[in-house]
Amino acid sequence: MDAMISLQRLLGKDDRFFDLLNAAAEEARQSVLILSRSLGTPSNRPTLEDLARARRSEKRITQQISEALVETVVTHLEREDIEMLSETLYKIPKIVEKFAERFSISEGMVKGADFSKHIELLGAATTQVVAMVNELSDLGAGRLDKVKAMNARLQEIESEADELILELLRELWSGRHDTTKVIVMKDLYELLEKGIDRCRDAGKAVTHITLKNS
Amino acid sequence: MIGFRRFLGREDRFFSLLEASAQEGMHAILALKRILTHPEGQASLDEFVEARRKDKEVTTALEEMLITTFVTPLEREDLEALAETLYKIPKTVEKFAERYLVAQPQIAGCDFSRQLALSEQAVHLVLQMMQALHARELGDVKDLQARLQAVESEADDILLEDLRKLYQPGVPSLRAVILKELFDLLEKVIDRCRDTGNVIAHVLLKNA
Repeated sequence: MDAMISLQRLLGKDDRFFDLLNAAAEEARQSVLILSRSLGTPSNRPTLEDLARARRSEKRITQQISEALVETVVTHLEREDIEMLSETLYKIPKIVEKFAERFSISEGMVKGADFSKHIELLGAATTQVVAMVNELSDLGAGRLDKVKAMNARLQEIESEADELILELLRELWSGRHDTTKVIVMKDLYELLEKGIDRCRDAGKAVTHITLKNS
Repeated sequence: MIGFRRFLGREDRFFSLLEASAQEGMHAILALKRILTHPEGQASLDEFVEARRKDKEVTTALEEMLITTFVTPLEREDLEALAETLYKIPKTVEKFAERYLVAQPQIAGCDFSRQLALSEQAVHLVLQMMQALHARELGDVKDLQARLQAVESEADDILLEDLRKLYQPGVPSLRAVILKELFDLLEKVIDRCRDTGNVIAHVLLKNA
């Protein structure tokens, strides 16, 4: 009987993985929402602690996934795919926190700068990632087309972000701005772009898993 | 017998896709050469977008084949790594071209010809390495890899020389910032070629 229970513990842990991956994706989305709220209300700036909390929470989830991977003998999904997705998801709130840190030390320099379009795209990308990760709990026939369509939308968002950064560079490199400001602004915009790139990576990982299991 | 033929056909398809991907890198670098050698002309990014779009299709087809094919000619992770590094070549060339066109008014008179010539050589060497791997001419792969590493090393020296000029007092700071970014991007094109060459050499070693 004990052996039976242990076997059950070793097998059938997939629900736990799905729950943890969903929680990790949601945590990434929350970190972008915190950033968006704080930049939208300048009087409500002290968000670094909130963002650090979101990142720590994501870290805990990543560790739980790693531990579950060690304890579990058989999973429906391949081990390295779970690890890759979990690591990619962790990077999103980490980048958001890094952006907030850099923003807070350069606030005087970037006064009046508008990050809203980029943050909007990052928000859309994380929402898409949450939806895609959610699809993993119901893999099987018929899912691939849906996931591919979701991934295509994510790639469109990434491509919009690329165009946006090019537009910003055109302005920053026009010669109308102080060079230090150019360096600081470019650094900040590129961090947000990197967040969107990591969402694209997460979408790619989900598509890869779905394709394997379709 | 039929099954074996089908397997061989699939093997060929893997290499053809990788070669096609290397070819898109070549298209991108030639498009860049046209822009840099005729800066006064009406430049367009269409050719780069097309090269990268095609490369993306090739990479996606390859990724799908890797998942749906039971036996692959090389180890799965090696094929994945090759597809990924090859895709990054036209992507980085396109990024350079986009930024160059945006920055053109600030960097008039800047000379990228030496870095460009080395990038072209590197991308061409990668294509030749892929062709040699496909044809199983493994001795050629080693020679080409050595030449690729020499090109990369020469590019490092040129970058240092260019940076030395840039770091002189009197260079307008914005021009220095922009040029540093552009020099680094061209350097990255060569680095991506070196990475691809390393993966091919690694494959060769494993299958020797």
